Amino acid sequence: MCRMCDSLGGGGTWYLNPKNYSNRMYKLREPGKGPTTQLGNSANAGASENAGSAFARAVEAKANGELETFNGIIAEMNKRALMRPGAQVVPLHEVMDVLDMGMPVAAMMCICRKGTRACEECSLSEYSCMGLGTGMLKWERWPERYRGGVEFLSTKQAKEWVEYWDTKGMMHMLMQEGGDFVGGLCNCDYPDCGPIRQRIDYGLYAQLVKGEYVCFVDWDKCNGCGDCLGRCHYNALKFEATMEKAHIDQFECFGCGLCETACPRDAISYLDRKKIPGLAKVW
Amino acid sequence: MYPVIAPRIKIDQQRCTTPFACKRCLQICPTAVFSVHETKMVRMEETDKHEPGNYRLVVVYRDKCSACNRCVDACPEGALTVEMPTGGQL
Repeated sequence: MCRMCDSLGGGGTWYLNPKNYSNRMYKLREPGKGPTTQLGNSANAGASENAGSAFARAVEAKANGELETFNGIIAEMNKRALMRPGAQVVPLHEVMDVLDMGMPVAAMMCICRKGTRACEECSLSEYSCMGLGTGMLKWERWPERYRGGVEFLSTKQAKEWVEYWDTKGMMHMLMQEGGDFVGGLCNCDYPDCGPIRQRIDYGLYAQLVKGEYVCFVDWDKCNGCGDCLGRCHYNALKFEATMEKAHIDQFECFGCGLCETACPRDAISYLDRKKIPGLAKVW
Repeated sequence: MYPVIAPRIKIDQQRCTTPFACKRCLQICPTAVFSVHETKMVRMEETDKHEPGNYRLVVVYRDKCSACNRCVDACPEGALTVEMPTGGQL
């Protein structure tokens, strides 16, 4: 996100700047506001307490066929959330860099999957969410988020654990939840993940910002084996039958890199979104 | 996007009392329309999922419901009804 990199990047990508993992970041808040802005970004996290939220009203309008009302609510939510993104997609190789910087890391259950599919994640092999940074030292303060269970991991364990989820087909995102800090790392899929769903089903752009990259298929290397197919959660990856190759729609691609990590021939690579004129503003 | 009127989903909360333990509708729904939420928390821990009333089933994404009725058939308590509004389409 431009604002994030402009103000926090220190000349580079904001989440690769070690300063953003410091304790100080948790204390920087918008005047008069709490650490997070509640813009219905917890639709999964509790529709009961959220029944009157903008998001619930938007869904109700859409379900009643009132598209004008729906579009109006979504536009208003987007306007308010524009400067305070909820999460950003990050490819696996940069997750590894993030894990070298952000300590401590703690694995915990995924609040989205618990709500949507009633998954009861009780142990490390089931946990798919990760808290990151010094905020985790005070995790007991938010029991409603952590459900009384977290497991602190070493950097090495954390990397293996994220790789495990990548192999399983989960993409990775850094959670900011409206704050200027890195608060967590999620391994997510559609439709269980709240941010993915709010973005691609309802157009809430700030809930999940696209990654810094766009995936590109080198057709000289791609032999059309199809190993990457089915890994994309964003409807960007298809099999182009005419050419017998994998096809990525650059405008749909979020740059999560799940196709890249699945390709046995290194046929998929990352392009820098900011360096492609037509995509530089597609976040 | 063109306007479509989504089905009405009714949950009889008197019958659906332990959705987090049962979870049949949550896991069978092709479009993941439902969500389950805890209603209380004691000392940072959630309460027993088998105790009636500790969890509540809600419809979060009604616009994604296709009225395929898989949840209605799967519910052991007969707590769910899905109805198409008359007309069905604008």
